[in-house]
Amino acid sequence: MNVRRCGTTQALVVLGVLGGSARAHAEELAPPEDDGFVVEDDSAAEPPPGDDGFAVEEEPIDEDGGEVIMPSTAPVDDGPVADVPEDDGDWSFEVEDISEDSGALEEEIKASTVEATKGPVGTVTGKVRDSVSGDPVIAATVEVVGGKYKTKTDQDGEFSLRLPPGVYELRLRSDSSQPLRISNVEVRQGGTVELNRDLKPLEGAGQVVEVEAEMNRESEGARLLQRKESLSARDLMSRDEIAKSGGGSTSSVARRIVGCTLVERRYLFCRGLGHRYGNTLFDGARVPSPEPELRTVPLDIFPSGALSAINIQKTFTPDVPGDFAGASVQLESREVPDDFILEVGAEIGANTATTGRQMVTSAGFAGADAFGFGNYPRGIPEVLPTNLPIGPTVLDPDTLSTAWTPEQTEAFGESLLSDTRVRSGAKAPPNFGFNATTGWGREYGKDGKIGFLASARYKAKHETLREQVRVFGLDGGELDLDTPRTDYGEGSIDTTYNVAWSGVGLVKWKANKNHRLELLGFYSRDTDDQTRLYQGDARNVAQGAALVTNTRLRYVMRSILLTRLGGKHTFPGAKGLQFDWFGSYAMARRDDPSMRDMVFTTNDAGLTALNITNGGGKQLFLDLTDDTESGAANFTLPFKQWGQLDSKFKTGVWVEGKQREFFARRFAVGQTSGSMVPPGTGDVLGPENIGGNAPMDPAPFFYRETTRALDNYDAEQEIYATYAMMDLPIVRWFKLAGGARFEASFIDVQPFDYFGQNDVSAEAASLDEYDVLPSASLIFSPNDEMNIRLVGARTLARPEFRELAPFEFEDFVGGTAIVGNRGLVSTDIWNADLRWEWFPSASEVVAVSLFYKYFDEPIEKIASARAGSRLASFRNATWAQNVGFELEARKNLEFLGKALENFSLGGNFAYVFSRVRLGEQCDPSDPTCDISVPDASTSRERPLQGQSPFVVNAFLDYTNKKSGTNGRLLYNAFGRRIDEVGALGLPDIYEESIHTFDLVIGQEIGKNFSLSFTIEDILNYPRRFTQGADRAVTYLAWPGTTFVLGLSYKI
Amino acid sequence: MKRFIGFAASLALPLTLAGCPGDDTSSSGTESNTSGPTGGETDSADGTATGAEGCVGIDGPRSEVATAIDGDTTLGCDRVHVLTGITLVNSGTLTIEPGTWIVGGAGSALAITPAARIDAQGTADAPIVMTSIQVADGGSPARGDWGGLALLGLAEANIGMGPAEGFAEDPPIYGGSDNGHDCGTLSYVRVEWAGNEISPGNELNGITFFACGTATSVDHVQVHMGLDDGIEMFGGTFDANNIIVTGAADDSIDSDEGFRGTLQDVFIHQDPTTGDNCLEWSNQGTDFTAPPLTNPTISNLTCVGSGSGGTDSKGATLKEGVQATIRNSLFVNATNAAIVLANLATQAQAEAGAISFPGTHFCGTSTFEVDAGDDMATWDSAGLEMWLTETAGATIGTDCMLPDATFGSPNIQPAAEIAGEGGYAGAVDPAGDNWTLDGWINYGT
Repeated sequence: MNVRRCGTTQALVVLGVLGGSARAHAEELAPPEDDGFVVEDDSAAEPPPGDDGFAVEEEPIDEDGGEVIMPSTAPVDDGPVADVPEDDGDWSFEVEDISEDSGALEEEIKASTVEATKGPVGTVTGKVRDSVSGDPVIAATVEVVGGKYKTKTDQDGEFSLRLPPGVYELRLRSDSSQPLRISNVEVRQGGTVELNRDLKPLEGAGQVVEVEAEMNRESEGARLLQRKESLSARDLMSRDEIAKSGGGSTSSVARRIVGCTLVERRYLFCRGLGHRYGNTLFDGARVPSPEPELRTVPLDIFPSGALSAINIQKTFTPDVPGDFAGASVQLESREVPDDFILEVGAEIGANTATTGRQMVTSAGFAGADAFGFGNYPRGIPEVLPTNLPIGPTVLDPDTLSTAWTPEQTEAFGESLLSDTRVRSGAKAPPNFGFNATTGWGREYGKDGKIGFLASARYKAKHETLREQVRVFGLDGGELDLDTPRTDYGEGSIDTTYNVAWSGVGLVKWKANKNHRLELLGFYSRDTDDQTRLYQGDARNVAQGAALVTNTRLRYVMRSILLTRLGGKHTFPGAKGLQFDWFGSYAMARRDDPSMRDMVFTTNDAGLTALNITNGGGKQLFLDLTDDTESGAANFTLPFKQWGQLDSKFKTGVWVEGKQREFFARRFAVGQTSGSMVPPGTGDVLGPENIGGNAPMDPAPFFYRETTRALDNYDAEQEIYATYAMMDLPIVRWFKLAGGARFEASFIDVQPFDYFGQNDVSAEAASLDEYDVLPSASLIFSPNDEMNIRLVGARTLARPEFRELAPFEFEDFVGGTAIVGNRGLVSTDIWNADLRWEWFPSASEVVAVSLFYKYFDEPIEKIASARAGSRLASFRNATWAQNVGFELEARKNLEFLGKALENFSLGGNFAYVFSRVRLGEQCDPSDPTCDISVPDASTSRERPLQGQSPFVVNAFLDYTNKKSGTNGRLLYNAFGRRIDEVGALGLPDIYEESIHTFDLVIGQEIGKNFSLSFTIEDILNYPRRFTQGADRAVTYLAWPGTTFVLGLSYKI
Repeated sequence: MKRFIGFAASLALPLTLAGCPGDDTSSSGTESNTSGPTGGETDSADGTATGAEGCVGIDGPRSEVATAIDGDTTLGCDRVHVLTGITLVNSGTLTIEPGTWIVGGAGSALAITPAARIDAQGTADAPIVMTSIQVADGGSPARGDWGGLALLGLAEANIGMGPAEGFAEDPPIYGGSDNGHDCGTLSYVRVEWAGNEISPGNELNGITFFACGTATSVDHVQVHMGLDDGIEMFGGTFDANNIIVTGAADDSIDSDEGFRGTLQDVFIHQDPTTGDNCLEWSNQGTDFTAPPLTNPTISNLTCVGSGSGGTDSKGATLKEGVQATIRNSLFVNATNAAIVLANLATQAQAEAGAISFPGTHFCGTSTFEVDAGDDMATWDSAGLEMWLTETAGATIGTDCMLPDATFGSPNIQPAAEIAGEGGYAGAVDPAGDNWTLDGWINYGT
């Protein structure tokens, strides 16, 4: 979006007594022909001919002349504006703008202008600038204190107000600035007084100081405004919100977004649609997900100190990638400051389920783990060959005889990490974190500015879950509740030590009014060091009373590197043509080295020993790297349509490439013939027990490689897109916007044998698709505060690489393995949205949306019948449909009484009815039937997987600027949703509703310090997954309540 | 005679090559473009063929087997055939000549898809052996050195159809409605040191029969020292006789998903240090009542457990609502229970008479276990024991009179007849030849 254009949207006007009048005028303005209200600076500066008096007109508006606008005498609306005294600091904000075109601003100015028209008049003119940036302050109010005359500044910060002659006290104010009074302004008949003043940026609780007046996109009011004027249905989280929501991570901010829930406290699901139906962009550039199985990028990796906003676009416009249906999460980087800034913070936290309680750990590598580099010491040993797998029976392809001597086999085996022991002595320490943000900016020349911002965050925390995991079967067609096939419970414990840090650096340079360049660098590193101990029955491992102990040591490192260079240019000589562009390179990596799985069984005599026939003694290395390049260029040509209304034409191109390399190596211990398995659960795979399977080898075990020919894959995707769209107001109250995007996508997933021994090219997947994605919006604005939008668009959901790849992975012994399906095709999604929005004031909103989505061949996870173990895969279902509505309201409670003026209440609710139909299975004896994984899913028509029928968010805010206190109580809930589909008659597994209450309290201490206190999940609501009509529990854990105390300091 | 005709017919077929694509890694183009050195002189049906003549044995030259075989193909005994990966026989008949050695390396397996069949007919003097490359290289073989043999068919399985366990994506799909399906013939075949994990959590068994139908012929087959189960049947219905499973690290004979065949004359010997059940028979893990119910019959089994030094060794575990007939069999030396009856659904089958042990003896001291999970078990161990003897036809505490139960050198011919139902109990006729000591069998470790 163009800078100037953003500036023009900055029509935030303070008007206490005029709250009602603006509405009154809006009604009068409704006829499109009524365009004579445009106030041009020059014309307004001159009194209309024939006017020669100073009489103050008290009559209502002159409807025909249109020059004079008077306050309405109609009863004032019941909004908070009604009884606001005209006292400095006691006013509230109101947003009055409808579109981002300058015509609307003029209209806005017109609507809020009260001038003297009859009798003698004098004129006050002037320009209002931001005292820090020097940029013009747009739509600031200029008003007579104690009087009714007022106007607003225009795009250039200039204003003109005609007043009866006299001496006045004038007040200048805008929502982003501190108000200013100017006394003793003497207006003479026919004279002009020039007042040029600078307004100081506002510094208040929850506000940010480094707000550029020209682009004050960071405040909540401005966000609402941006949303109000947007062509697409979208929700925005402002920097104010980010600051208020506490915590340094972005994910804690995002949970309030309408119709969206935060899944696993990291992933944003909107309208209940899961991972598949979202995408993530950072300043427009594609952010790759560090999770190969998930498309969504976890939000908690972004330090919120670097963001100005999270923009949730729910309906498609042709200028963004079309591969979403739920929401496109668009992160926007923060503006650089105007001066030097420094903010540092620290926090300490405790969780009732974890901190100070027993946890499980592994030997680990303390030094490296603390900084997120623990994947290096766990990396694949260099001694291991890369040309051949290891193991006594590995063949030399040339001689067709064994490739390795027993000595070599032993050396390879002993190079693998041998410590598999789960330690349970320690107690979890408190969680802690630090964050720092610094920046500097300087203006130069007339409009030039350069600045940088850097923000970094570090956090270390432990999380312990005492989990119950059950896998049920059927008996007599009913869920067999009495005999779970797998039942891990008592003694099962799972501790994850998470270390995360990230940094953002950005440099923004504004050469002049028309040209800007931005350079962004972002790096995030997030590691989970997991130690898991499951104990109980696993009937496919050991029948009956035998105790099965399944341990897993896992260390997962996820990193994202993102760089982006972008620019925005306006060419006033070329009719205001705007050109913006960016190029971006991103790398996402997930390194998952040395995952060690052990399975022990205890026999009738109480003897516990490693069970290598059922998955014990395995070590797995996974390493995934995604390189993503994206770039775009957009041209926007503003023009006036036939009625002189501002319109624009936009076109552009988008190029995106993504390359993935996925490496997997698997190792398992084999038992030396004739040896005894050493008893116990200790370090049974220590070097002394690892041999080379030499004849008469005393060591009971040796390692062999079990890497499959299909485990590794390369994948590539290229997307080329171009689009054209038009934003065309037909009349003032009705705008048409639409266009189309053409996307060509080429996906290739090529499994390869790590050792090059087998040709697995037949398993490759290739998907070339060309799509035209049309989008059309009708926007009705019956008055200045209300919009009705009707949007229709086609979007896409493409299969992920992992879903096309034959790699198979099992979460736990006795659980379900997941494998890809190379036959998948993309899903076409037809979206329709009807949305009504009402913005009674700058910080208040009421919105209702209806939406309908039709999915042609949606990709769904299916369950298969496989002998011995459970298998899930993916398949194109026949169709799916979602229909739903969303409600949103946000209201200041001042109308209930002065005592509540600092409180506001808000909430949103989304309901979605979802159905997906799965097709019939073809007959495998039919030669044309090409099934890689038979679909044995039980339910053939059901809600989309992961789709909640409802989502509720509610909050109560308290903001006291005087005392520097703010508080927020958040409530969040979602309806039960399918987690895993059942096969062979088994019912689907649902994730049950979770209700969470969070409390965030912030208090400023002096000028520089602030204290925050957060309680997350006050109810300690259990995470519960159930199956069948009786809701038999398949997973249960209480995550605990988390308390976080933070202190921050800023200059 | 039938076997002779089959063998001769196979020789008469045009012995085309594997028909694998030219870009295949295989060198199978060099193998068996002749009818092999055996000629067509087989003149007896009892396996005393002249096939061993001209065979190269285990030390012969090696050639690699293609990973995809389309069309009729013969593996001759003029060379050692090396499996380097998962070989899928996609169509035609894979004929393996008597006396042929097939050796597997890490990650290798041989699978016959439903559109193909195997014709592996060795003889008592010239068995077909599938073993570890370590055996050929003179190294020390271990369980799981290679994958194993899998036969897939389209007979009924109570999961409908499914991908074969242990294979990667695009695994062969088995299961259907053709109960007469012919997976092929196995006769005088020995499979050793198999059970390599091929997909995560899925070790191959020594020989796995996926939904093989009644036309499938199996006799004189040994599975020796497998990492997972010895022989496993997923659904299907076919009969087999003279089966030996020795040293399986998991279950020796595992039947699931609706297998309804009959096994005659079976000897199972568990390794003293490892091994789970001699028999593990289950209906279906997901649904205990999924039809058709697993309902095998075994007659004249001798099951020798791990003994007192074992870990998980048990006689038979019947679970998940299975039906079963275990006739004229001997169970001895289980470390743990001789019989485990698991799940209430299985007890219900027993009470309804769908499980029986006519003429079966539990030798020496045996324990019996009821595991009904969290169900309210109405039987306890004593109840099970009482049912076995009073209703099911079993005898407890018999002296089996086995001359030698030593793993590696067993002799299971009882010194005197132990009476079964209408004949002797146990795998070997006390008055006849001891077939378990025939030369084609390998007890060595």
